[in-house]
Amino acid sequence: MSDRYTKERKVGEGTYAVVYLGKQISSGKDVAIKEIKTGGFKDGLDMSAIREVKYLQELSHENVIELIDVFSDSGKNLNLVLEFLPSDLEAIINDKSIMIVPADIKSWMLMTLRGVHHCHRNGILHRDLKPSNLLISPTGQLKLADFGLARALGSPNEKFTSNVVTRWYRAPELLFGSHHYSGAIDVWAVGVIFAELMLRTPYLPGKDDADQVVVTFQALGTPTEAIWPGVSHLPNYNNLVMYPPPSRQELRNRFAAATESALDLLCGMLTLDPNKRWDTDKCLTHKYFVEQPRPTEPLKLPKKEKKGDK
Amino acid sequence: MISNDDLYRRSTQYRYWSFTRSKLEDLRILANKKGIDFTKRRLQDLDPDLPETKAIKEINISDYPFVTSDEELKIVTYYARKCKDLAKFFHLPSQARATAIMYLYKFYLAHSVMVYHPQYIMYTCLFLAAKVENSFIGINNFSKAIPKTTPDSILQYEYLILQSLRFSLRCHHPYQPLYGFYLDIQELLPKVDFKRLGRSCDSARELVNESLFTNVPFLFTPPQVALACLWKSDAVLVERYLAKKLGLKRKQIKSEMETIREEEVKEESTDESTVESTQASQQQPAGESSDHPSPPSSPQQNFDKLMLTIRKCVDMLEHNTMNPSMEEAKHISSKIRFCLEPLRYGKKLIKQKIATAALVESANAKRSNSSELESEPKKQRISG
Repeated sequence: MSDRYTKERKVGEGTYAVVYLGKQISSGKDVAIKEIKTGGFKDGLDMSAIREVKYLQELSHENVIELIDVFSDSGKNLNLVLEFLPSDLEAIINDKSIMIVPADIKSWMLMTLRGVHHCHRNGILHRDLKPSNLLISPTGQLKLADFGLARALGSPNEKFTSNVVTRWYRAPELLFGSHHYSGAIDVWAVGVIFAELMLRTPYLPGKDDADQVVVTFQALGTPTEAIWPGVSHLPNYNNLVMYPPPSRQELRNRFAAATESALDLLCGMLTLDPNKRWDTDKCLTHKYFVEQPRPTEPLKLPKKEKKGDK
Repeated sequence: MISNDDLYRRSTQYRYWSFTRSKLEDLRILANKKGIDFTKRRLQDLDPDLPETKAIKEINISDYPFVTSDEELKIVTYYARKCKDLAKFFHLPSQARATAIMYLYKFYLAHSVMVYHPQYIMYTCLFLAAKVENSFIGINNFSKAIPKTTPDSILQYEYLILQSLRFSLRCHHPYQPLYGFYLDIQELLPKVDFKRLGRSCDSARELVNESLFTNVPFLFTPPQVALACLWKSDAVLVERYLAKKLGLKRKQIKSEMETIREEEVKEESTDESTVESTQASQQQPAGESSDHPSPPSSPQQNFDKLMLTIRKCVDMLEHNTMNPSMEEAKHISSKIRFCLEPLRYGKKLIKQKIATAALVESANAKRSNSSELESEPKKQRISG
């Protein structure tokens, strides 16, 4: 055990790590210690842990979780010391006793997009954005976490796996099995999260991979060569039911509380063709973020402690 | 507005792994000194009763075959080149190959070959780099392909390497910037012959491959190295491109180039500070640091500054690329073995002593043979 940190209690367990709440002895600061399980992975250090270390070391931003330190227990277990973030956006969305107003949504969207923008300008794709990976600090700051699936934007001829992003937040190019994708897949996920914040329920909850295709295109229309040149050449573009795109009025009905510019931003992020989908620059400079209401100050945002963490 | 230069300055590659020439040299000398101290302690810990230990104690400690700092760099480079071959064998992309090579060089900025033999560290660096760069190879297949290794013999160094890399795993190489220049040149100089550009970029890519075996990755930014390699394969093209990019009139270039060359020769010996100051700039060729606002410089000044950096980088590529021969490597490798296993050296000393003694004896015998015939018993004593 390191002499610089204490592990106090277990707060979570994932596939490749156990997370402890601990303290940095020198400062008394709360930290989360992610102890990477060894032994389970016969090929040495776990791939997700390596990705997490690789990318978090390069990212220092208000809206990205901070990797404070890395140390080893008896030279064997890898421990990542992360800033302690007691809550996440999923817990807030699911707690129906919490009131969420449009200004709150704007504030969370702003912080999410800033974090994603910082990743993208450093050539890093997150590839697993979803409400449970958007953690909330005690001061209300939202931070992107879990970089276990992240990767660098590579050279143009490099093949990527399309098996990324939790199903409900998966962009259409991934549903079609594309091997060449970009930051646009993260923007799509943020768009789905935006919709979920407004609806207070998952927007595109596919039951399985096949259902995800149906649910996605029922809501947003099936892409054709006319609106997305080249789409028909993607590996899984076949046997599709052709749904029409939703009319503006249908979208207004679905997102009753959204302003016109909120709908514009949503449509920009949920553009089917990844080449036409808005990038984070375009999203962040959109008038939705300057028009009234102003985004809620992080400190004043609704809060929610994680389950079993009282 | 945050520029690409600012972002690069925040990267671990800039913060942890960019140095001035003298700093880089200091690190290697320090690592070497640590290796010598480590070996000396190893010598002290030998069992004093063994004849090998006694033989070692008899010689002057400064005569022990310690590896020098220069030899360390040579043998690491020898294995860095082996690493390249092995990466090709596994069909790894250039990014993973280059990362493995950089891991190996970085490891030996903190450690000495007298403590960890580079052959084994090289295997683990390659295995780790493949994993980090999304070209994962299973440890069983990896180890099966390399003679005299086991999965454990490779995995045992993984954490140590990670630690020596200060847990900074991301590497930026010149390949991507080179591709960026390739696209930008087409955009800016649309009349340029496409085949010529392709050829120039291909040979620049080869030079980038070779640049890994120099100090250049520690002293210049990846776009600087990419430009230097491209300039080396097509100077006219690069100068036309940069002139256009920086808003310079074409006529001015030639005369300016001559003055730069003269200046450069003068500056050769006192360039420590210049290396430092040009280190982070030119992530994009026209990039000016926004951290240190300086009076707006003219296109001419920008062009000159950039050309000076390119010339320095090219100079280093031309004079510092190492390719140690097998004989050199064997010689250094045997010294490493004596440092790692001093008893072997003790044995060698004993053998030498016997051989010298035998030589002296036979010389004496020859001399005495000519006068008397009494050498028989002496010879028997020695061989017995």
